[in-house]
Amino acid sequence: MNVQETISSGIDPLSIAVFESKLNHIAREMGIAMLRASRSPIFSQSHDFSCFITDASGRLISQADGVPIHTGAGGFAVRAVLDYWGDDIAPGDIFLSNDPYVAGGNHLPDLTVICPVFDGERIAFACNRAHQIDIGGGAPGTYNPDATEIFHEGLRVPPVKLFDKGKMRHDVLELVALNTRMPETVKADMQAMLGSVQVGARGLTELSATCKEHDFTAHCGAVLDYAERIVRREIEEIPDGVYHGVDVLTHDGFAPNEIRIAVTITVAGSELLVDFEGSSPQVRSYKNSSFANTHAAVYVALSTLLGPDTPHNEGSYRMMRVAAPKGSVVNPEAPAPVTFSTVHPTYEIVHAVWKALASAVPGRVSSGWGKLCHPVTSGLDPNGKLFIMYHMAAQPGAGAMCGRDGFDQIGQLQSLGAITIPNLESYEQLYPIEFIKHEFRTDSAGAGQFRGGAGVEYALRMLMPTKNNLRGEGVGARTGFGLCGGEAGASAELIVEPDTDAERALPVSGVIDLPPCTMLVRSSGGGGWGSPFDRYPEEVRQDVLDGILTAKTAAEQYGVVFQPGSLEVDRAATTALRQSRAAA
Amino acid sequence: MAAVNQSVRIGVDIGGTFTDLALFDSDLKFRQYKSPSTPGDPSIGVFRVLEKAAQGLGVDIKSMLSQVDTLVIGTTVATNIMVEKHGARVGLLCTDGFRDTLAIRRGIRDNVWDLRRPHPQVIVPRHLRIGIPERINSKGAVTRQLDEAKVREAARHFLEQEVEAVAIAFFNSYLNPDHELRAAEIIRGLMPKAFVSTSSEILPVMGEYERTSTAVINAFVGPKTTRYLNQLTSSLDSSGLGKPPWIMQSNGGLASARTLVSQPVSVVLSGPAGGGAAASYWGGLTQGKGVIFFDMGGTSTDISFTVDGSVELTDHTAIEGYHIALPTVDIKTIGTGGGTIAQVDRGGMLRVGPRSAGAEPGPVAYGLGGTEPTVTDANLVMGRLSPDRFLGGEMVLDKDGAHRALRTCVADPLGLTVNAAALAIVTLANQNMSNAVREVAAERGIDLRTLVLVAAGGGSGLHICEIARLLGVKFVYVPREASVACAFGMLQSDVRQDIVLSCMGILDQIDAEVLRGRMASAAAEGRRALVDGGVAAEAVSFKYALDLRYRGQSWQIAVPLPDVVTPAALKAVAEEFHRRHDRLYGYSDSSYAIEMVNLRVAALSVLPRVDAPRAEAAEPAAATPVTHREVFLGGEAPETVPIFDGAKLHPGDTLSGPAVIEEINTTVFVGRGDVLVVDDFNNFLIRGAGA
Repeated sequence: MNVQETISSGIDPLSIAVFESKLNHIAREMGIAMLRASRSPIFSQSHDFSCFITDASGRLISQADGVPIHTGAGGFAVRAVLDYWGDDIAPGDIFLSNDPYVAGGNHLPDLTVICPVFDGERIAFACNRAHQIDIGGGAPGTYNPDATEIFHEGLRVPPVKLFDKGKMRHDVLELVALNTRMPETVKADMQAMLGSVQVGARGLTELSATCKEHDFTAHCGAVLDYAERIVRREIEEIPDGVYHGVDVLTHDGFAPNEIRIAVTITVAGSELLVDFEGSSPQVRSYKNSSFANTHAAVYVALSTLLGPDTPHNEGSYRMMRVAAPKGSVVNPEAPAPVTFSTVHPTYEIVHAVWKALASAVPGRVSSGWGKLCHPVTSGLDPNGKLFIMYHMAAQPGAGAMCGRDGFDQIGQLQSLGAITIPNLESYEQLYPIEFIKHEFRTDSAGAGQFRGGAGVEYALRMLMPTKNNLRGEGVGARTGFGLCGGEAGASAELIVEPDTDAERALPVSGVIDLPPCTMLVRSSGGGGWGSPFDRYPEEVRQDVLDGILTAKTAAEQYGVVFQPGSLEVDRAATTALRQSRAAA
Repeated sequence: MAAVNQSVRIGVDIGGTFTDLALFDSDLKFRQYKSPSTPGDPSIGVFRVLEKAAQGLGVDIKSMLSQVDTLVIGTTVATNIMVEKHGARVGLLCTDGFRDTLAIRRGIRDNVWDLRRPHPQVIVPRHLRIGIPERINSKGAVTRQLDEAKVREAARHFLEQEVEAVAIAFFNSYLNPDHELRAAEIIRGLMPKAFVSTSSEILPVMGEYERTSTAVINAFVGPKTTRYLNQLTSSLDSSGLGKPPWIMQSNGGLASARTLVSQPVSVVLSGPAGGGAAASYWGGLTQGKGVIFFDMGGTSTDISFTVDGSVELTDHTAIEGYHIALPTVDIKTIGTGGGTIAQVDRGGMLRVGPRSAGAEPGPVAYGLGGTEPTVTDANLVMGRLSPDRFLGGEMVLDKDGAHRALRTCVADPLGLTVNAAALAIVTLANQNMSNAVREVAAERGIDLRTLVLVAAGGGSGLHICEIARLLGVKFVYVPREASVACAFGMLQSDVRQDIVLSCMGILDQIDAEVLRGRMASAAAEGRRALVDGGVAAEAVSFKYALDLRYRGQSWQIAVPLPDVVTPAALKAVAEEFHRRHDRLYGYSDSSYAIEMVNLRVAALSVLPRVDAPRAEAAEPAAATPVTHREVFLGGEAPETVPIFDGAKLHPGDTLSGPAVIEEINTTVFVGRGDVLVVDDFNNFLIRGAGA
């Protein structure tokens, strides 16, 4: 440890440590205030919101309470407020925005409330970004698969004042609420967001008052420098070079179509350039990624390479530059629709970055996560009431990393698995359905020294007619790629009336009506890491014993042979088979 | 020793570092003892501390135990099984098609950013999770009969696989337990030695993951825990204890070892649970003010709050990443304690925690091989802690070693003096702990400013005044029993059995007759459990509550339900629900329909208590220090600070900080400007400098 380096900011080390601790505490308190006051189950159950703090110039300084895909884009929204309003930012103002083209938003359902904080002069912004239950547009529930322009996706909000010098702009609140299908809930949730940023502002003002010798902004600088120092050191461990990665979408939302997400990563010392040159042009449907979302997705991908105790603030990505050609699927021009971007192409962006860096630091990169395959089902229950059901228990498996197998069925990649899986007993109480099966899918995990996560077989009887919005990139392609000799996970399947004469597979995309029927999702598997021949035969035996693998697959993919009529590994035959395969 | 007649009361708490004993002797005088814990066989530590207590009373252990009226033991045996993962080999029967509920674990991961950490290992490997054809539908009706032949086949497989305990958790069994009960009957017939645990008996509520996990943990800890409790009971019996001991449960209530035979999972968080009763007790001594209970030990700190006089229960508990959904005293544990390690991280930032030196090697000062400086080492270096008064002088602390470690690991890398580094460590630890208190309070909708901060555990006294300042709390209370708080709390606890069962419907459409019937049958079950454990049937009383939520919500709030259910009473319940919802979530809406989810019944038997002896109102008098010592308080150099002997402080004595008070098992650091008064109960009431 170099003394010079730690005290370069001139602030004593205790003050910085206490400042950082309080800053993260304030962000967590904002999250608690939000959870307590919000109405929509999106927040209380899925925690689809983020509280973050930026300094006076819009640099993200804390995101202790957040969803990974939200927070990497946080600074964009604040800088848009600064651009838009310039000097006209006063104590008591609070801003609202969502637009991905002019306001640094990810997509329209995510409203962002931004509260400037003053202690004499402006010192910070306390912010809350939260996915609303509805934002108008062409379909209930914020995702409109038919959209071809952002106007079909809901209300666009540039940076506007929701509070003007301490006075609530009820006209603005009503304007936004009126443009949604659930105005009362949206209003209540916006109030919750306002409460949360006010909690943050109060805490930040108090914190500023404790900054004596050096002011708040100097402390922010030290916290950012600290994160930068840690991350630069980690990036220095990546060999210099130019690395390429590509991942594809198989469907543009209206028809099968290969859409490339191509990335070139240039590592030079502790600097890193992520360039999306060569990616496909923007698409017709909502599978475009706004630039803020692209940036956040890159950070999600890179954060997984860093140590678990790495701070996450703008200092952590000062050395990373993201370039994306205008008019491409990762930096579309208005008015291209973008709502699905937090899922697709977020998966593809993360995958492409991982693939690129796999050749540089294979030991730190995850194999591919199986892509989603479940539809969104809606219909009328026996009482004639509309229901919308997300099949959140039909998730895929995650990719393996060096040192651990992939997570068997886990929440989605953009949240790094944080979205929880519901109890099916509660779904049976809420919806007109009856579950048949929810079990790991045999032979779905990508083979490897560390195997991918298994997908599931998820089957249910839907007792009423339903409309199903199909949107799964996981169907039809093996999306959970393997690394370092590991195999890809199985592709997903979506089937109605399985094992009957009426059995049929459903397409990747589109909206279809179904009569009461049985639906089966075989969700995709995560990719394996390392050669399957390097997996301990004992671990392969355990997976066969557990029914995760069949004996046939064990022989084919892992070269593990069992003694006839038993599950005892035949070591000699296994060694021989593995050697002959390796030679082939 | 004075005349006898079975009037001694003893509480024993087996902590991570020390086994604590709290005792009221036959003169109702309070005594406390500590002895190092013996994780290999915790009962050794129990007998050692009992031995120590007997010596203190001037008798042998046998005659002491023969005088014991109430012996309560908090047991870590089940906790340790979870931590060390050395429980029984468990087989699980589940509904055909749903055998991975336990492994999917709803996808819950504690730190999303830490992608490299795998899930904890599944307790039951997949080949021992067997799907049985059967199905109960969402209304509780059987839509597929139980395939008994398949259950028998599974039993044979389990026998071959040397399974010691079987958990049974069928889909929707919370609505109809018949299949689980029948399967259990078959299993018991074919596997007479196996421990059997059914989810619908332990926790008949909605949510297959949490119910399955709880039943499986019950089976996992079952055989060893019951064996241990039986052995402990019989060795106490042969050592002269006349009545069987009570065991502290995670819900803050007591149970006999006999009752726990079927539900040992209810002692997994036995240790800290005594803190709940202690918090209520001390809250009562401070004019009934609400309490922040702050129990700082060697490895961690437990935080809880009293609401309306007692600590609430929660259904969401995890240990080592495994989930238990039984009612548990709502105590939040954070990883900062005396043994927490300070370091300068790879970015040059001072960090206190999350790593801990634990009990072994412990702080550098213990001289047991620790090399990294801890919070305790920092307190020692600053002179706040005395090297030769630790544990009443039983352990001499190595101040030079602590000094060296601080210099090498923190002071030099940060360019600070050793004293400044020590102060930085304690300041940052205090900041982190006060942040945690604020966050726990905020989550529960509690306003801290009106509360009293109660210090418990051996480590709190050194930090408590500064934490009060950071929290903006005016009053600090340090009871004499602070360092054995949980053991003391056990002596303030009731015998208790919680019954939770699914009870769904809309509150204002409920048939009161049906509800009364369910309450009565749950009460009968609770009474049976207490009577089995040795309580007289007429001594059992009941507390009822309903878990309620606004329709469409997915979380619920427990609201007390009166014994006699009338329409007016239910209306009052609804009003109370709105009030609690407003406290917890910041809004309520009386136009929303209220949904019932579960019925809760607590069967209770209140044990006799020892009232706190209260002195005659004493004249205030300035306390006299026994000595002075150099203590670092910040600033340029250490200052001379008065040191008081706690044993010589009496009701009415006052002193002001800076000062250090040394008790046998704990040290209190009173900050500059803080004023301490010994109150009528002979405890320390400190008014903060800012108050």
